[in-house]
Amino acid sequence: MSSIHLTDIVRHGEREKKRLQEKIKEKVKQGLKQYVTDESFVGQQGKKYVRVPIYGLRLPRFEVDPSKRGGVGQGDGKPGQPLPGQGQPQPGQGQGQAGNDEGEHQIEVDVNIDEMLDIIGETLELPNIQDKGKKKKIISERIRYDNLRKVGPEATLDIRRTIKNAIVRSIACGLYDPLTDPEPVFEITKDDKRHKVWEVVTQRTTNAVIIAMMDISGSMGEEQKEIVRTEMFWLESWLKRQYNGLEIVYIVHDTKAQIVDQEVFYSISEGGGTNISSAYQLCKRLMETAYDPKDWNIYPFHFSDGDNWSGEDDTLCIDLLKNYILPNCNQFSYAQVVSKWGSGKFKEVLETKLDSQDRKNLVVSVVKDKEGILGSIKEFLQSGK
Amino acid sequence: MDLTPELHGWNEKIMDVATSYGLDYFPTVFYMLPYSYLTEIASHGGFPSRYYHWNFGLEHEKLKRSYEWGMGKIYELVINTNPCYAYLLENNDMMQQKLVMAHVYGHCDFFKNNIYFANTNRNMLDEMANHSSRVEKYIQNYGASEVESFIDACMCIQEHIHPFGITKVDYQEELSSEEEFLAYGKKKMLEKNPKYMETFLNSKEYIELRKKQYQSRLEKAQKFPSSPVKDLLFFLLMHAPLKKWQEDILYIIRKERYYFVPQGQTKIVNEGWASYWHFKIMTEHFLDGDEVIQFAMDHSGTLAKSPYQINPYYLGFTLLNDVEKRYNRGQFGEKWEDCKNPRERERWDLKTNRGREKIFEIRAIDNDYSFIDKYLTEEFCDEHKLFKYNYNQQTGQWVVSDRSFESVKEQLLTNLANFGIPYIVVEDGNYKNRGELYLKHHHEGDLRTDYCFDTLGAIYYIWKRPVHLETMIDGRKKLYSYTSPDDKKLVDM
Repeated sequence: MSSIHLTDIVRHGEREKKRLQEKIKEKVKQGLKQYVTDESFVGQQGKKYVRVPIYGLRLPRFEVDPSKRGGVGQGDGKPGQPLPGQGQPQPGQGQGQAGNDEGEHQIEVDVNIDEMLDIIGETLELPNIQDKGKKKKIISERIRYDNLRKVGPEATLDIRRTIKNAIVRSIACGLYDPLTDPEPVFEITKDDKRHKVWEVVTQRTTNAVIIAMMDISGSMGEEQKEIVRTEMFWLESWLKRQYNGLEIVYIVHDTKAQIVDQEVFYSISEGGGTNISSAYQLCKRLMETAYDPKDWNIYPFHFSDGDNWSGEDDTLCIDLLKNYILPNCNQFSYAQVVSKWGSGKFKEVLETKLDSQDRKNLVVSVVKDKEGILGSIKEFLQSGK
Repeated sequence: MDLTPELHGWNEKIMDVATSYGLDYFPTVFYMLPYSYLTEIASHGGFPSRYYHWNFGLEHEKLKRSYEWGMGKIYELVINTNPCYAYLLENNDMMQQKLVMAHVYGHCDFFKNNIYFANTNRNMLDEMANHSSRVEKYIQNYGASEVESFIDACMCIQEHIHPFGITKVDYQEELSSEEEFLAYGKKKMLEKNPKYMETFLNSKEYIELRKKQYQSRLEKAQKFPSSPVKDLLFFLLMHAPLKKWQEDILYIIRKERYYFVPQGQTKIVNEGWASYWHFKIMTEHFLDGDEVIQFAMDHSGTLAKSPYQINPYYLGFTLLNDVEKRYNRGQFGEKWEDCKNPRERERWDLKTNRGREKIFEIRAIDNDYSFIDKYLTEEFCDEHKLFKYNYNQQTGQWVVSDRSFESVKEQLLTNLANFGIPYIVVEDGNYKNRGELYLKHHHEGDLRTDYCFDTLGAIYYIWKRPVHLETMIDGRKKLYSYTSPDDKKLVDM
């Protein structure tokens, strides 16, 4: 007679699950371009896991296309009438045996954002950011109780440990027997007392700030904004990992610039003209007041379709960049998102009006479509500044 | 966990009742498990001792998720072995446990008595454990990733076996010379064969015919395999350039697949039979007054109808009941077929009382295909509102296309044929005389194009030479050619 060993299943099961996780990671790596642009991620800042559909995990097989075969169902309806509940298509499942719908082709799994970043870093061969010693600042002093002592002020008495010691001593001396005495009777002596001892812990953190600027003028379509948000999300997540306590300021601009919070930045849709200088002005003001370049690592990012209104404004921008922003930041990143309506001239302006000395801290990248996001991220982050 | 004393008592009682109805089952051992274990076991086809592969992990993930989302729940799990093992779910209430036990005895009886299970290895638990340790050994010796990729490839095509397990080794036929062949076929009269009869007996036409026959035999003998082979796994096992361990893994996968074949062939009858008996046993013996509503809910839950598919529990249960009723009232045979008067048909009752006998016969000799073919009637289709549906490419919607008995039955049978898996045969194992593999799809519907190349890639991995698949798409003959991972083509023929 056979017997079932339930331990078998548990052992194999764990192994299979582990391998499955590895497989999922492999798949994500293979289709990184696609996953990076997956909308499931954007707006999920701060979450540990994001649920994304994984393609190609299921083993392939020869299968008759359900839509070319037809099936047998049950219920009301005259010939020619559509079947009920076709909100989500449910490609026919033969007679409950052959059925395999679209839903099985892809399977949704929880992907760890941290793991995703590892994969991105690995694939794009991104360097870690170089240490900038002088810009470190002590940000906090904390008190941590991590030791015990027999003497100390009454306020630090560890009552639980003290009483425990007292009971143990009483039992050892035969003064108290827990089996016979209904109520514990014991005395706390000096020897039983334990005091907590604290230590001051200082945590040193690098100071870094991202100044994220986005053009929300009329010429930036929904698609372009989508690209900006996706790319910004990954840039943000990457830098967050590099810097403990990274701060982010979100700026949106058309003809005027304003500071908005994260939620607005990731959901706003506006229209209007474009004065890029307005954003740069605001950026400069922030650097002058809140984020002193002496203490802060500053990363301005600017996303636009490159369609500035006037040449005058272009000159103003160049002036701002040349004389203040570029010399004082770690890296100024300009991403030009290709749009049907934008002229895309601002990129040329940047490349012609600034000499090579000024352009040392400037990275310009062009994003054609969603596919281009990964490449653009690489351009921005590969210098490791 | 073993059963509680209370459940144990119920088990004994249900067993006695089942026996009194004439059910004949293997000894049955029940285990009580929490849901996590049950999904774990279910994802391994019911066998805790199954070999290690990540795809079982994926199955488990799906089952777990569908349970968490409340989309489906496994009530029972029976393994066809001797003794039968059955699992009960820990959190079910007493009524559900009784229902499941009664249902399980129906299955066990079916396993023991249905002809399609006659060749099943009833020690499959041991054999699977054996397979598992062999796979484990290969992982140790040849590396986990090596073994995994090979199992991956085999799993992609594991359905392509012969449903009845008959594939003979294809020996090349030794052919005699043409002269010998013709001489052998010459007709002769007795010894005193007058010369003048020669042209009459072996006329020019006859000699020509023999020559043609020789030609076709010659062609056939030069072909490899000499006739198309349905059992792709077997063909690969015999002829693919495999290492010993790969051969063994392919053998294991094919062997395990054959164990599951009868269950796939008898889903409707088997579930119908088990549902018939849980209904009978519960309603006639074990229902307390306060359990009736819960029972009715669970019973109708398992028989839920859907416009997109026929629930095998429903179809099996109702059709068995229909057959029983018809044979009790003598609604069969020539006279019944000839009677066209609806009123008379309605009142037809010859008091033959052969219903129970008939369904016991079905349980012994039928599978899903023959069951539907023999017993599905027009009245049944009307009463249960069966219809055929198709996909309308223009509107992108599924539409009811036909309610006539003939087309519903035809569609049902088409989808049951070959388990609903495309019928693909090995046509040529030496295509273009270059050792390439030529497969042919006997078109029962267009293949899903997104999977074709990937699956061919799996065969390429085993065969190690280019693989071709002939099929039809939108009424046109097409050839998928997988020459190498970087060279895939789809061409018109």
